[in-house]
Amino acid sequence: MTAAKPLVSVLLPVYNGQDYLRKAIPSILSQTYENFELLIADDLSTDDSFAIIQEFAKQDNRIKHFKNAETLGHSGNYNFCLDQAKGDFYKSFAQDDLLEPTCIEQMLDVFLREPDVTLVSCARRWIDPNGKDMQVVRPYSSDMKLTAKEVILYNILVFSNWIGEPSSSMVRRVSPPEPRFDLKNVHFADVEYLMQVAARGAYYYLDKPLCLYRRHQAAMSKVTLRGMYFAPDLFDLWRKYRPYLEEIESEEQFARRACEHIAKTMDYVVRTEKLTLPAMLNAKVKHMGGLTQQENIAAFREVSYHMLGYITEVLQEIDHLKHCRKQNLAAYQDTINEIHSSLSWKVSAPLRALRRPHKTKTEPPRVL
Amino acid sequence: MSNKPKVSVCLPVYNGARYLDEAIQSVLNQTHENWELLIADDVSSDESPAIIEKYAKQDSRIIAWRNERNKGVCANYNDCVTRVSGSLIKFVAQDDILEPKAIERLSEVLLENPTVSLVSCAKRNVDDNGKELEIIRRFPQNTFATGKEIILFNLIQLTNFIGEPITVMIRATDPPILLDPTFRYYSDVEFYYRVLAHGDYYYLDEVLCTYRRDAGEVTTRGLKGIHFAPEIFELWDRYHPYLEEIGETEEQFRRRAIEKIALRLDDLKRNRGLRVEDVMENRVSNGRSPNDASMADWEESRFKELAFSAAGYLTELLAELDHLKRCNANDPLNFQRELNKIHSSISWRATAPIRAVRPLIKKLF
Repeated sequence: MTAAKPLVSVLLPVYNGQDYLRKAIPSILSQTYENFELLIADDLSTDDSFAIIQEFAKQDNRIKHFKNAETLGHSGNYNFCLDQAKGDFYKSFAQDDLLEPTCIEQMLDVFLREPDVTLVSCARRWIDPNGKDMQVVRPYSSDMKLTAKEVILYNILVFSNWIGEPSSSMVRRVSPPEPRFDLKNVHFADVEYLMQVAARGAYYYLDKPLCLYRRHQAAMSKVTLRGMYFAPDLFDLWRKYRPYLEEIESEEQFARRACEHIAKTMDYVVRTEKLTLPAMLNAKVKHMGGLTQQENIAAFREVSYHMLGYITEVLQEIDHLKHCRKQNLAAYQDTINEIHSSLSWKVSAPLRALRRPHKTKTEPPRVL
Repeated sequence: MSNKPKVSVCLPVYNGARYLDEAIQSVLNQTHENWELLIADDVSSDESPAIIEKYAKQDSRIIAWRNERNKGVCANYNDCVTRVSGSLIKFVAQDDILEPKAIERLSEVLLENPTVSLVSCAKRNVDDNGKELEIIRRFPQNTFATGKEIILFNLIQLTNFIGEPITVMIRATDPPILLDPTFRYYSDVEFYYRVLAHGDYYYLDEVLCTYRRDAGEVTTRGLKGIHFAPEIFELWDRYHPYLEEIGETEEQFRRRAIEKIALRLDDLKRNRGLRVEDVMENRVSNGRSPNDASMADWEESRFKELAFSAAGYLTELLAELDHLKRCNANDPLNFQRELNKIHSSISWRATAPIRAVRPLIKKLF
C-alpha cells in the first residue's frame, strides 16, 4: 500500500436486502479505484441476503462478510462495520443504492488534495424502486468547502440532512475516539454521525452525482417521522453541538425553534398522510439500537416539557395580543362614534337619507 | 352505643416514625369507639415498626402487619382495604391527624344519608412543625351532590376537589374498590370516581382533620415527573361519557388538557424550580417494579400521545398567533380607510363650514 493508493473500507450493513444487493455489490466491485475492502455485515436477514453475499464473496477476495450474532439495528450494524474497517478512508454505503464507477476515485481525490477535510459528500441521483431516474439532488450549486462549524450549524438550522445519505458520503479516518453512530438517535443517526466526522476537520461538497439513491415510494414518510422519533433527537442535537449553537442562539431560542419544527413536521404528516394518534403510536421502530424503553420515555418527557413550555409562552402572547387588539378597536370605535355624534354629522343626516332612499334606517357603520 | 356501625380505619405506613405516634393516638382518641385500626407497614427502615407494635399491644382493636417486601403506597392501601371487617372505611395517612369527633361525625352522615357513598370534610393544613397554615373548605356549607355532579365537577377542574384520603369516609363494599396503580397523581380522586359511580356525595363543612401539607412527598414527586400529564388522557379515556354528556368533545378536552398541563408545568418551573432533568427522571414507583412491562408501555405511549397532542395544539396556537398579528397590523389601516371614507363623504365636506365656524364661536363667547 502506497500513500498514493490508500486502502478504502466500504461499509455495507445489510438487512433484508435481497431485491437490490445484486446491483449494489457489483457497483462497488466495478469501481475504478481498486484498493478497497468491502465489509458486508448481515444483520440476521430473514430473506436470501446472506446467500447472495456469500455468492459474491467467493468471486472477489476484497469482500469480507459477516453475519451478526444478534440483530444490531441499522446504526449498530454500521458501528460493527466501522469496527472491522482497516482502511484510511471509510466509504459508507447502503444496500438499496448504487455508486457510479468513479465515485470512490473522485471522492478520494478530494481527500488527498484537501488534507484538512474529514468528510466529503456528493450530489446524488434519486431513482425509484425500478431504477428509473427521478431527479438529481444537489444541496449546493457548485463544489464547496465548509468549515466544521458552518456545516454543523447549517444542518441544525434547517433541522434536516443537507450532507447526504451514507451512500453519498465518504469519511477520513481520524485519531481515536473515532466518530460512531449514536444508538440513541433514531431519526438523525446518519447525519449526526457525519456531523461528528465534520467536527474533526472540514467538509467538502463535490457537485457531481456520483451515487444513486433509491427512493421508496411505499413509505412516504419514514416511520421515524410518523412515530415522532425525530422529536427527541432535536434536543439531543442541542446537548451535543451546544458550543456551536450557542454562538447564534440561546437554549430557549433553540427549544422554541425545535418545538416549531416538531409542530410543523407533525402537522405536515397529519395532513398529507391522515396520520391519527393510534397510527402514530403504532409506528414503532423495530430495532431501536441502544435506546431502551425507559430512555425513550424520558426522551418523550423531555419533548413534552419543551412543547408545553412553548405553548405557555404562545398562550400568553395570544392573550396579550387579544387584549391589545380589543383596546385598539375600542379606541377606533370611539373616534368613529365621536364623529357620528358630532354636530356636522347630525346636521347632514338628511343629506345621507336622500342619497340612500332605499335604506329605511341609517345605522352608523361599525369599524370592523 | 351498640348500634353504632363498625368503622375500619386504614393506615398504610412507610417510614413514618416522625408523626406516626400522633396519627395513631388521634384514632385512639375517637369519640366513636366501635372501630378497628388496620396498620400495614411497608417494610419501613425507621422506628415505625416499634411504634406500631407498642400501640398494637395496648389496644386489641389494632390489627397490624408488616409486608414481606416493599409494595408501594398504592398496593399497601389496597391491602388494608381488602382486609376490612367494618361497614364503613376511614382512611388515615401516617402524617395526618383526626379530630376526636371525625369518625363520629362522618359516620353519622353516611348513616343519615343512605344514598351517599362518599363523605368528605374540611381540613386544617399545617406545616412540618404543626403550625396552622390554612383551613381548606371545599364548599361554603354542608353540600349534597349526586355522584355524577361531583365527578363532573372534578373532571372539569382536572383536580382533586374532594380532598385527600384523610378527609374522606366511604362505605365498605364487596368486592372492595381498590386504588388503580396506573395513577400516581390522580390515584385518590380516580378512586373516588369509582366510589361515586353508584352513589352520592356529601361535603361536611366541619374541620375534622389535620393535613401536613408539605409531608406529602408523593404528590410533589408525581408533579415533578409530570406524571399527572399523561394521567389526564387516561382520565378522558375512562370517564369521557360524563364530559360528553355536557357537550365536550375529545378535541376540546385535549386542548383544555394541554392548557392545564402547560400552565401547571409553568407554575412548577417558576415556583418549585422544576427542571427538564426532573421531568426526564422517572421518580415514583408507586409500588410497581420499574420493569413492569405493561406500565412502561403505558407510559411510553401516553407520553408520546402528550407530545403529539402538544404538537397539534402548538400548530393551532401558532396559526392563531399569526392571525392576530396580522389583524393587529391591519386594524389601523382599516380604521384609517373608514375615517377617509367619512372625511371624503359629501356629508362631511358639506358641513365643513360648521366645523370651521365652531372654534371661532367658542373663541368669541
